[in-house]
Amino acid sequence: MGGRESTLVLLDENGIRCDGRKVDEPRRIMIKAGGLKNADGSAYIEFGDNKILVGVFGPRDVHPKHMSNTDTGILRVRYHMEPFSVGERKNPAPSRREIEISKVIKEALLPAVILDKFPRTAVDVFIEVLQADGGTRCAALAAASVALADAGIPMRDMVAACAAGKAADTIILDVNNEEDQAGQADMPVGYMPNLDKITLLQLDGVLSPEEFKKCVKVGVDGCKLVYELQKKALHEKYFQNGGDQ
Amino acid sequence: MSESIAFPGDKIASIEEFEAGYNTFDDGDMVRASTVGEKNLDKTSRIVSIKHPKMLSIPQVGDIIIGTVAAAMSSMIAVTIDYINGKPTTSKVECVCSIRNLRKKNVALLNDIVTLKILNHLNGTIHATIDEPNLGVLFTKCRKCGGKVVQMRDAIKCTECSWIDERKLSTNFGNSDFVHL
Repeated sequence: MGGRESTLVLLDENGIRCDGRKVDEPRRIMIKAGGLKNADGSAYIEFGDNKILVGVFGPRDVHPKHMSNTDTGILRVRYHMEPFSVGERKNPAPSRREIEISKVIKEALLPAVILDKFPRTAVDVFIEVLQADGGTRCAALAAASVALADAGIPMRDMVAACAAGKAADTIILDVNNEEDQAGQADMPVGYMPNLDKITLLQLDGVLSPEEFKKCVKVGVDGCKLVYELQKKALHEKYFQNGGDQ
Repeated sequence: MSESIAFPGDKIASIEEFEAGYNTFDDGDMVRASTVGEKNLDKTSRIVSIKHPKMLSIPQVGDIIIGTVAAAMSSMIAVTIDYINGKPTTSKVECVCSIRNLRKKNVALLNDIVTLKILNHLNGTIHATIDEPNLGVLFTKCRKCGGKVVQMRDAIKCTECSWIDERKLSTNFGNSDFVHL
């Protein structure tokens, strides 16, 4: 039911997925805080075959001035996929999908970021997807959160993100590109682990109420794994190697 | 990870024990960290704060800034901040400074480089003062010919056209040429 017709075996009889993972196993995740000299904060993430670089600038003066808010700072997010990030060349102009993902990442970060201390200013988050393999919005959100923390922007909590989904009638963690294309559902989840609040929840596909609850739980469990790696990345930058900045 | 290290959202203390200080906030129950850094629990003042190694590009109250005059009006000047406590910043945030109480015709003119002290953050605007001996104009040019000027007590005199003008000069006036600005 659902998904595209495919000869790909998404889940074999031993419960092993098409890329060799178990149903509750995420892809290999590597997060590095810092790296961009000219940015106020930056992060690089490898989430399976996704490779994403994030730069944060600000708080800084807002241009155009009419966008500024006298009561609070504003958050601006640009999610952009490089032309070489996918198999077939992608037009570098912002697509409908990129504009949508920029919006949902901004709305997922807004509950976490404390901007009322910086009225009339803007915090700009630039997300560059160098290589895409499904689940880029979750990987980008996790990296953006690390980059904001690296920039010293006050935050109520980190935002961790991981997708859950359904393939071969089974709820799975961290949906890859094949499972996203041929699977039955994809649910990106953004989560603030200390405050226990969900900031991003999208669903592409059809789930029963029981499957929905299980999928959210699996997604939140994945976010908790990502959160530990986010903390590790920040710890490595600030408290190891003599606090090298 | 060490217990002295905090990440955004980490619980540091309950609000009955400590007040939220720098880089912390209280959620109505607990005091939590808002940045990555080392915890500092001051048991005398009962204030908890977090020390983050990076400086934000927004000046705090009491900071000394150096900036370029972006607008000069009859009772105030707007200054684009270039340095905070001697450290360069690229944020280009503006502050305003009242000049109403200074008995001078020209306190500072457009594109003058001035040093100011931050007074407060009020109604979304950063307010600064220029009314201290070390505060005022650090660098300026002749308003008539653009030539170099030299200090003559409280005034400046152009070395090219001899035009004499008035400014609120800093005690550090003429000590730097600000070639980078």
